[in-house]
Amino acid sequence: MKILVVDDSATMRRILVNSLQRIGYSDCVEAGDGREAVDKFDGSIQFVITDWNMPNMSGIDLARALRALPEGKSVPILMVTTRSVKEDIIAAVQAGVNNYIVKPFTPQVLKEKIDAVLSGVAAAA
Amino acid sequence: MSPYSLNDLAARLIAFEATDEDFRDILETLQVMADDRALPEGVRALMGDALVRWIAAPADTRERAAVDLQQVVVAAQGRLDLRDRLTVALHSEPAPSPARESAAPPAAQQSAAPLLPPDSDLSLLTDFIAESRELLEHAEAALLGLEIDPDDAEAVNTIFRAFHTIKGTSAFLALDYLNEFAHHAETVLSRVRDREIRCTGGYADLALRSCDMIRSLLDATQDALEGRGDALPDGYDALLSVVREPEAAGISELGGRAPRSDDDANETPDGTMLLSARDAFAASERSAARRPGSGSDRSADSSVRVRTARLDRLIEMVGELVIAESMISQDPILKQGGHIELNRKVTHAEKIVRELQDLSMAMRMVPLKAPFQKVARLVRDLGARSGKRIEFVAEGEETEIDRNMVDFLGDPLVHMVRNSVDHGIEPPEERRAAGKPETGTVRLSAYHASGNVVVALRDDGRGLNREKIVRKAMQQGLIATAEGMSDKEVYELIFSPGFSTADQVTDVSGRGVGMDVVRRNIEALRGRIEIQSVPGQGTTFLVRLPLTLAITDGMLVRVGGERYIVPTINIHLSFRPSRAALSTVAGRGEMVMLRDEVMPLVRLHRIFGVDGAKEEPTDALLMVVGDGNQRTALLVDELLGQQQVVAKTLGDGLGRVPAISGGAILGDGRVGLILDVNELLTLARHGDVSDHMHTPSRAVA
Repeated sequence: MKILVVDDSATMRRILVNSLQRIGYSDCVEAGDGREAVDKFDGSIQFVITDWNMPNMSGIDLARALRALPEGKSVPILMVTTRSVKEDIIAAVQAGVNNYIVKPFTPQVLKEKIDAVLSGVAAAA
Repeated sequence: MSPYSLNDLAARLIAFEATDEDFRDILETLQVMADDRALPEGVRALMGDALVRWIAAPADTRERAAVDLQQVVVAAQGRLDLRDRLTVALHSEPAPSPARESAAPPAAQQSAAPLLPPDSDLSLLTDFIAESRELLEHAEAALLGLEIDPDDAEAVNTIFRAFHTIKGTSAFLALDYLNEFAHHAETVLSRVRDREIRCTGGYADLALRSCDMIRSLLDATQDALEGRGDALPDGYDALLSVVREPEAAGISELGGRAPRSDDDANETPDGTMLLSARDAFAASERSAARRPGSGSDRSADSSVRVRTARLDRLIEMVGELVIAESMISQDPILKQGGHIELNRKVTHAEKIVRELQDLSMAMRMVPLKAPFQKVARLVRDLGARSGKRIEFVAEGEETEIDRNMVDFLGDPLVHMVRNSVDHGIEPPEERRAAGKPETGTVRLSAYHASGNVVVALRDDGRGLNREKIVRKAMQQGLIATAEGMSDKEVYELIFSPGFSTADQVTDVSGRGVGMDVVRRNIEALRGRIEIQSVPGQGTTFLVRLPLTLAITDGMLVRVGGERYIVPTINIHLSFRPSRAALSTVAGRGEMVMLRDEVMPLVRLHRIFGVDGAKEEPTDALLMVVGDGNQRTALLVDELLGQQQVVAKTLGDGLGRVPAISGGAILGDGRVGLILDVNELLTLARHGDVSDHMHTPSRAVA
């Protein structure tokens, strides 16, 4: 499964990519903000993991933008957040984010979240 | 009124049948209610929490989640009723967040915990520290911008994002102290973002101090990484308790600087519009954001972080390559002719090496933004402390200079700014009395000029006081009389060692280091400093610096059998004097006249004790070196040509060699000495060059 990892922090991207590798997802594409993510998003991306607060284009705007694309209508989107941004989770869900994960998380928790999103998407389809 | 209410929600919950449609309906209701500003915050928080759990609930536990949700509705109803009973609006206590409890315990319980977790990923930590420092820089710039426009939402978000990202990442890295601190700082900023408080006065101070503390924590983490101790920064616990409950610590929107009044905000005395620091920062940010692939573009693959030590090593190696290459291209065999093919190849290699050199140098060039920002912060702090109102204006902060010089530029800049704020800018009453705007302006600008970087610091304060400087200088025994001294010469006196005119030692300046240190530091960077001042209108410091220290553009000159390199930055012109232009002035030695200007003549062969050099100036050449104030003519046999050299220190073994700043390996593999023109000027000024010969340092030549 090809995963698009979007975060403006290079350190966070590394953490995410490392975690993903550990749980068996080694095909990752990285983007430093929402705009770049939209540029890199194509039919081959099967899953999107995005930070929510980024310069230029937030994770929420990204979700909205992806949902507006023909290839992005149903791509699963997992948003990474921290413990103080509940309001943004709500906005994110409204914008089309499928689920969220709170920093910090272990690779195991990440795997469970990805599995949950995938089964949810499968159920809805 | 929203069609979605607690009653509506309760009804839907009762009717809930665990279908996707029902699930989405409740989701929508929760979403709307969590966002409904008509509801008390406490209720919205409950709805938000419930929504978060609702979204996360797996499909097979939705029944159970609905039952839980019914209890939330009951609790929310209780809050609504409570509000109805109380006329006072219900301000929510922060809703308990399940994630919070599992996160870092409060600092008090972990004060014995190490700064670094035992199983840290070193390279990840290093990246994190570098990235966080960058984020702090952005945050600090934004904070200073907020002082001018406290309602700039983009600036608030930048600061918030910095704390937020540091918090999030530090949690992964198990940096508990950083995480704890960043979390509380973020909370304060989130209140600013939600317009609950404004980032002015005490809050602005607190945010800046938070930046400082996080930076100290990063430094401490770095120290721990490198095995240099594992200590928490001083004042961590104290500041943490403030940032945790700012109001309890007496923080408010008041305090700190008063907002500027509008009448003196827009125009400077000369009527030009002020470009505020914020605008300058913002403008450069925006242009950087628009330029794809530029240095500050933070996209994933357009830039790469390189350890500076590695970069320095690369540049050093390229320097060696340049020397090795010129040793080949200047090899006598090539000059013999008949090696056309080889010559062609060497020329080609030469071209590539030059390009490589330019490229590698460009890699180490950084904008002056960081020191400029430091100055912005300093002006603010100093102004606040001394009760003066000062606007800081930055121009040209994107001007680039060798990274290794940026670090050394910081100290002189700090001294110059202290000088401007402490001695230059007057207190508001004095300014008003003088018919000036109450807010003084300190303007820092940088630009490229003829291969150099010029940094100018201007203030619109009272200007230098000639009488005061003369009095002081006479007291200090620096001069016997000021008669015949131009204003410029008098002003130059403030660069003399130990000179200070501050009537009283203040917290701001008067710390025992003066402008002489500034001059020394600038000269150590092979730069020059000049001062301009108009009484009542202000003072300008002009600093001229070479772009880099790694490579010196030099003129190779011959004196007898020796060769020396004179940095091109110091050279004005060379000429062969006529006999009529030469004269000897009693007590001042040999002089030469060039277009109405009389300057000392310095015989390099005497200074360095070189035999066999041309003694007669009319047979040799004079090279005029120096700055705008003071020039001197160096007697040399001939000019051998311009050359870029890689400057090296002479090493400790030789000790300090007068009038020599370093050495360089020349094209033929021999060593050439680089002249220290500033020291030569000093020698010439004191007249002890031609009359009283300095001990020749033959040993090094």
